[in-house]
Amino acid sequence: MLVDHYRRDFMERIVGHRVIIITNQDVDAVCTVKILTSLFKTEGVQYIMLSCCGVSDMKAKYDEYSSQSDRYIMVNCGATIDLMDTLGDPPKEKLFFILDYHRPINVLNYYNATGQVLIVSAPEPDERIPEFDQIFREEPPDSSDEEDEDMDDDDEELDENGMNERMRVKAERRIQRQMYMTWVKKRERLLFDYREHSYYSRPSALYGLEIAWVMSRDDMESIWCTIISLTDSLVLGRLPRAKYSEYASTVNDHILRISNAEKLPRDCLKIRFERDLYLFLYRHWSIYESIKSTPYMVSMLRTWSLDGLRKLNQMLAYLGLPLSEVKQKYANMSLDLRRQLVEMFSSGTVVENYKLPDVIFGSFVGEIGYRPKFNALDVQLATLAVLEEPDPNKSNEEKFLNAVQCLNVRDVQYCKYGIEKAKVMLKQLNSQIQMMVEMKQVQEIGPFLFVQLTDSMIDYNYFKRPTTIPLLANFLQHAGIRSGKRKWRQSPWLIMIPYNQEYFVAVGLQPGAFEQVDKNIFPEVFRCIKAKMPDDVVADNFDNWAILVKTHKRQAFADLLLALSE
Amino acid sequence: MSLTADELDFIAQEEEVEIMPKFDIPTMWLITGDVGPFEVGIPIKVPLWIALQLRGDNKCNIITPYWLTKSSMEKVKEFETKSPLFSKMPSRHYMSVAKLIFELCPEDVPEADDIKLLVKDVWNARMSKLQAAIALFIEKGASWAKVDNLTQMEMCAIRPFFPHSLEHLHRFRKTIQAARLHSAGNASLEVRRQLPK
Repeated sequence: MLVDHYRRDFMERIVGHRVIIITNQDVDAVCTVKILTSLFKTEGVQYIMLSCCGVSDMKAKYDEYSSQSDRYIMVNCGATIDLMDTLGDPPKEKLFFILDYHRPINVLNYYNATGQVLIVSAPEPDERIPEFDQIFREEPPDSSDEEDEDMDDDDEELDENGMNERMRVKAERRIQRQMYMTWVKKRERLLFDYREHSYYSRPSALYGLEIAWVMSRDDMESIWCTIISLTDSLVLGRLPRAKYSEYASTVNDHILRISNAEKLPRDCLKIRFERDLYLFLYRHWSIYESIKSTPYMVSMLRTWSLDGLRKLNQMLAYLGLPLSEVKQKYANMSLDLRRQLVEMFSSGTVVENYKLPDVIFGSFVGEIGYRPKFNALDVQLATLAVLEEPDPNKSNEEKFLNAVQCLNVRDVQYCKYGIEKAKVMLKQLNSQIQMMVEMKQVQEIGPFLFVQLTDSMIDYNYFKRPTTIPLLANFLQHAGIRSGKRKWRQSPWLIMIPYNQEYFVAVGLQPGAFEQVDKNIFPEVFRCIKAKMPDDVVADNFDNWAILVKTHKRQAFADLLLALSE
Repeated sequence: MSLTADELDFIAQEEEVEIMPKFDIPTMWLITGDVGPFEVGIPIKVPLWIALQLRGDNKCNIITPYWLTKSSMEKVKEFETKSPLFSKMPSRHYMSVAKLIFELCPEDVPEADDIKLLVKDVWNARMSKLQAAIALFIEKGASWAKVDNLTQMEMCAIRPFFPHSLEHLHRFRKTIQAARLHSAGNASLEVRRQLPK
């Protein structure tokens, strides 16, 4: 069931109750949680926040806390699975509100009969969910035994009309049964097509912002959280650029609605939408380092090779950026050069000669008083790094709470810490790509391109969960294509990343996933494989294009995948 | 035991301020008085502490007091800079109220940056007059002075310094006298009897 009216259907059912918020661990959930919890604080709603990393974790936490409350908000978890079934058919009083960007929405959630599952993140008009009649239908009554009994009973009272009547009824029933069977086949086909493609839609933080807006509790801080979540969707390849621009302009409208930037006093948070460079962390690093760490630039310029480095230097020289300046920390660069950077990189020559059209993108910059400005991209990377920090002493919940702190605009201490971690993460990413290209680890197996990452000196700790794996996977794909053959563009990719002693993460990517966001069929494929090897494959995540495979069963996994693809 | 600036801020929160609530509730019966009823869109006068609490929860908008506007503050500043006397400030706790409002919700105050500067200018003008008066007081060696229209915050600002420095001066004088006594120790008995003990 959908939530049409936020105040009537959502807030009024929550105010006055204690709420349990169950979230997935990704940046969008972090942002949504921040918006919702600040809304709840002002409304006086008590809440318990639980972050979980997979389906079994979610179920365990639900079982533990189910006695404490009747209202549940599921952020970025639970849309794609049959919620009532997974949670063991909870009693009628418990209501579940789903704010999830994973698609396709499970039809049992959408057409929930008991009214317990309410979907807040409504599907967009172009998501075609099968109609109710096409999926649910009463099975027509039929059983030839019954008919025969009838026949026997009425044997004595046979007369011609009665006989014809019964024959007609029997024929009718047979036709009905046949129609039902065709309907069932059609239904199977429909559901298969519907479930085949997995993709992402509008980030949940946007819905959070709308709820706050309806309750007139939105402010600049909530808008900032939404911006971070949008940037996250862009960086991790969940939204295509066009959609990102569309949502960004919506957010910009919100900003204009709340405040006129010129009239605001200095001390308030002001956010501006402007064109900016798509170079990771360049304000906290030198431009040179940043170019060498941004996946897009590295792949397009091929900076893993000496040739590529030369090309990079050439480009910088062409733009008029002296190497000595560019290798300094950004804050120490001369002011003129800093001001001209965006212009330089958007000049026609760069776009045509070096084929870098996407270096400039619309981004949000925030400032408070006279403190240094902060860019949405940097804050997003910092939050991601804090969320995925490979510290064995910190539990996942603790990392989630730390990530929520990163979104704080007034107290930037966590953000600074996150930026340092993000630098480490990006360096690891780069060294991995370097190794892959140098050792030519890409193999062609059937229609797939297979990359096996070995656990050598390089630390994979940042790339264990679907929160950050897209960064690595998309980069691998892009770099692989740029360093390999042209025809590799058409093939889907399978990447194996070491997870721990026992397991590897198998990641499936559509061809061309790095440059245009496409629907992924791998979750369905992996589900079929899991059905065949139930013990060796763990598909616990909410993003099922990355699943865990036992180390010694990798070959079997790959073979099954090949077999299925035929 | 004198009041500190934080305590004065606390006392200042008794002042009445007008707010525009965003919610509806009937009258609240509090120990210090009744507040309410609150209706959306209808301005109501409440003590500052309630206003700040509600504003912090985003439940109301604070309507700036009439004196915390640019034109009003400019007039006050002009008077303060021209006249040697202290003018009566529109609010007994103007500094605290201004500080609390600007800390929490500067966006509710139109032209907040200019008003902040004006308030600071007024404060500086008054403090410099006060310091000049103190200097005159000490110079003349007077034993009492009368000043009108000082606010408690300004008194609080000079309180740590003023009595302390007077005490030092007193001690110096005493030492000088004792020294004179000592040097006059060889003088006649009458002189010694006349000197203060």
